[in-house]
Amino acid sequence: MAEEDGIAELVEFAQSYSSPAVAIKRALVSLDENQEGDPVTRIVLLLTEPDGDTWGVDDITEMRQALRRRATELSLPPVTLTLVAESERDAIDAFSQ
Amino acid sequence: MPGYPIEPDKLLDAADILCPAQVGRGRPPYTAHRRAVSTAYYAAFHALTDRAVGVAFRHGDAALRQRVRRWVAHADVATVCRWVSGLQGTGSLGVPAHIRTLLVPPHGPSHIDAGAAVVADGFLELYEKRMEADYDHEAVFTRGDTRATIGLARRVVSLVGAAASNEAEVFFGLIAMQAQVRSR
Repeated sequence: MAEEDGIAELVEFAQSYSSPAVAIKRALVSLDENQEGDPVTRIVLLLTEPDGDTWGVDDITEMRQALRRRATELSLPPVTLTLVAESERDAIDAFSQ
Repeated sequence: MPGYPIEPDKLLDAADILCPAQVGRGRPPYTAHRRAVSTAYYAAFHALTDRAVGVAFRHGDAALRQRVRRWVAHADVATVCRWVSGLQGTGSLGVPAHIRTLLVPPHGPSHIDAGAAVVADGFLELYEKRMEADYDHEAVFTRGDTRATIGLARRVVSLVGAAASNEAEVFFGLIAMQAQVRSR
C-alpha cells in the first residue's frame, strides 16, 4: 500500500473513532522524522472540549493504542499524537499551513 | 548521603506548576508548556531507571543505585519499550527474532503483561513529545495536550512504582541490561 493511501485510511479511521468520552472532530496525519532521524507518523486531533482541564487518561490511552494499532496494520511508522481542544482550534491552523 | 535526588513525583509537581490545571484568561505560555512536557517525560524516565536499577542491584545501597542510574540512557528504555510495543501490535518497528522468542515463547506463557504494555506505549509517546518540546521549533503545545501529557506521565510513574509482577521484573531487567557501564 502506498504511504498516501495509508495516511488517508488512518485519517478515516481516526475520524470514525468513537468513544463515550472523546469525539474526534478532525484529524491531520503526516509523516515526518523525529530528532533522531527515525520516521514517525504525526497525528493532530481536534477533539471535543474536555469536561475538566484535559481528557481522561484512560480514554486517551485507549484511543492512542487504537491509532497505534491501526497505523501498524497500515505499515506506517510509530505514532505520536497532538491533542487540540475545540477552544484551542486556532492552534490546529498552525499545523495545517 | 546528603543530596537532592531526582524524584519523579516532584518532577510531576513541577510540571503542574508550569502548566496548572486551573488558569485565568490570557495567552497560553507556550514556553512553559514545552518545559512542562519535557519535565513530565523526565519523571517517567527516572521512575523507570529507578526500577531497572533496583532489579539489577537489589541489595545495593542508595548511593550505589543513584550512580548506576546515570548509566541508563534514554535510548535504552526506548529500545525495550519498542520491543514491547511491537509485540503488542501497537508499534511498527521490527522486533528482533530472539527477543520475540524470549518474550513471547511459541510454547509458553508471554512475559509481557498489560501493565508493561501501557507503560511501554506511554513512555514512547512521552519520548517523542520530549524531543518535540526540546528541539522542534515548529511543534505546538496546546494547553489540553500539555495537561494530557502530564496526566500520561503521572499514570506511567504510578504504574512503574506499583508494578510487582514477574512480567514487570522482566521488563525492568531488560532495560537494565540495555545499559552500559560508563565512566560517569
